[in-house]
Amino acid sequence: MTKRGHRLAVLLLVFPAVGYVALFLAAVLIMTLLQSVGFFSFTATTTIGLDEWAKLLDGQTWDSFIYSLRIALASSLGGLFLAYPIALYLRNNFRGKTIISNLLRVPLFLPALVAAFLILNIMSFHGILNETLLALRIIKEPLRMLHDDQGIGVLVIQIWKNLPFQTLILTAVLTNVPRELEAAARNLGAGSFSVFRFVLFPLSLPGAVTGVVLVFIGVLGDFAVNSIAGPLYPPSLAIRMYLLGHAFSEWGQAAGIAIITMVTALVFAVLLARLAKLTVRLVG
Amino acid sequence: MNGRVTFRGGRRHGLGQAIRSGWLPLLLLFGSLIIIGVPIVMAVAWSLVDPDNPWSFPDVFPPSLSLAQWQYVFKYTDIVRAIVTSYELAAASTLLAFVLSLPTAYAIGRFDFRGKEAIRILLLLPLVLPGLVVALFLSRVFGFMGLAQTFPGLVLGHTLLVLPYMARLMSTSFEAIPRDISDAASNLGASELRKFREIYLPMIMPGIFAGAILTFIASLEEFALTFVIGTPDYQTIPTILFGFLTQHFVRTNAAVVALILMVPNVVMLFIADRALRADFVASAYGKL
Repeated sequence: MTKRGHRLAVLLLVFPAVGYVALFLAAVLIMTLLQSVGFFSFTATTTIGLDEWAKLLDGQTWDSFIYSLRIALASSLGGLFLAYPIALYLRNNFRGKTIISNLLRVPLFLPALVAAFLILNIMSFHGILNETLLALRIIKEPLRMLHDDQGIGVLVIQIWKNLPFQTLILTAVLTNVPRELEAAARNLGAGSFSVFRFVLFPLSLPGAVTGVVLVFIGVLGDFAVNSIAGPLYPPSLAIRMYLLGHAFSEWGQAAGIAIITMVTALVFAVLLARLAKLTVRLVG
Repeated sequence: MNGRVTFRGGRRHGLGQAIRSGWLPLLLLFGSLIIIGVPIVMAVAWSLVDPDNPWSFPDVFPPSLSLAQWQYVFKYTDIVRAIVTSYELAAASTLLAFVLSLPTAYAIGRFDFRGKEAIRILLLLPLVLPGLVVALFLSRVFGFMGLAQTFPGLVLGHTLLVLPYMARLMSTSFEAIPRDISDAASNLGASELRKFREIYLPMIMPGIFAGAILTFIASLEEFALTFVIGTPDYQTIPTILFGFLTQHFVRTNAAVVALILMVPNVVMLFIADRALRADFVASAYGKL
C-alpha cells in the first residue's frame, strides 16, 4: 500500500466511533452556545445578544452556584482525605484483605440512584442512625439530615458512592511506587510520616488529582442525588438548569447555567493540575 | 487468601505494630461491614415489609416478612414494561457501540498516527461532561430532528454515553497484542484480514466481553438522558426508581425497584471481574 493510501485507510478506520462522538458532542455544545445568546428561543422571536445572561445572573443563580461548588469541593476533597489512609493501608498484606477490599468496592458497582436510596434509609428522620444515636443518648431528638440546608445528606451519599473510586485510583498509583524507594528512604532515616510526605504523597499525586477532579465534576453537575436528598433551597445548578429549561422554557438561561457548570469544571481541573505540579516541585 | 500476618522484627511499637497485628484489620473489617452492609440489609428489609404488620418506630427489624411489596410493584406499576425497555435499550446501545468501536479501536491499537492522544481524550469526553447538560441540549437537538420521545433517539443517546467504555477497553486490548506475534504471522504470509480473524479477534475477546458488560450496565443505570428524552413515553428502571424517590415517595416500592436495578448489575460485574482476573473497572476509569 502506498503511504498516502495507508493514511487514508487509517483515517477511515478511526472514523466511526470518533465521528459519532464528535458529531453529537459538537451538536450539543453548539446548541448550548447558540441558545445562551438568544437563538432557538421558545417564543421563536430571536433577539441575539446577552439578554439571557443578564436575566440569568441574579441572586438565585449565585446561591445555586455557591451551593453546588461547596458540595463538590467537600465531596471530592473529603473523599480524598478518607481515601488516602485506606489506600495506604491496603498496601500491606493482612488477614482478611481480600474481603475488605471487595466490600469497599461494592458502592462502585451501584448506580447513583440506588446509593442515594440506601443512604437515605439510614439517614432518615426515624432511620437507624438517628435511632442509634438516640438510644446511646448522644442526641436528644432526631437530627434532620436529609433535605437540610447544608446539604449534609447529599454530601454523605456522594462520599459513600465515590470513595471506592478514589481509593481504587490511589491504590493503583501507590502500588506502582517501587518498594525499594520506600526502603531507601527508611534506610536514610525517614519515619513513616516523612516517607509519606516525601515519597508516597508526591508520587501518588497524579492519581489523587484524577480522582478529585472526576468526583468534583460529577457532584458539581449532579441532578438526581440533589433531587432526592438535597435542600429545598437553593437548588443545585443542574436542578435549576432543568427547571429553567424544562418547566419554564427559558432555554437561553438554562444554556447559561450549562456553560457556567462546564467552565467551572474546566477551571477547577486546570487549577488543581497546576497546583499538583507546584506541590511536587516544592516537596521534591 | 494472600493475607497472612507478617511480623518484621520484634521491636516495632505503636501504629506499625497495630497495622501488622490483629486488631486493626478486624476493626476495618467490622467498619466496612457496617458502612457497606447495613444500608444494603436495610433496603432488603424494606422490600420485604409485611403490609399487615407494618414496620415502624421502635422495631429495629420488620416484625414479619412477606413478598407483598414485590407483588404490589409487579402488579400495579409499570415496572415490567420498564424492565423490558431498559434491557432492550442496553442491548441495542451495546451492539451499536461495539460496531462503532471495532474499527476505531483496531486503528488506535495497531497503527501509529498523529492526533492519537487527542482522539483518546475526545472518546472519553462523554463520561466527563455533566450528564444533564448533554441530556437537555441533546433533547433540543433531537427535538428539531423528530427524535425526542422515540426509542431510536434513546438508543442514539445511550450509545453516545456508553461508547467510551467499549472504545477504551477494546483499544487497550488491541494495543496489548504483542508485536512479535503479528510480525510472525506476517512472515508466514498471513494477510491483514486473516491476522484480524485468526489472531487479533481471539486475543481481544476478553476485552470485548468486559467492554460489553460495562456498556450494558452503564446503559441500564443511565438516568439523566432517559429522564429528559424518554419520559413520559419511555420509562426505564432508573426513571421509575427516581419517581418513587421524589414525587411519589414510597419507601417499600423504592426498595423493590432499587433491588431490581442493582442485583443483576452487581452480579454481572463480579462475574466479569472474576472471568478477567483483572481490575478492568480500574482500567476503564483509572488511566484518564
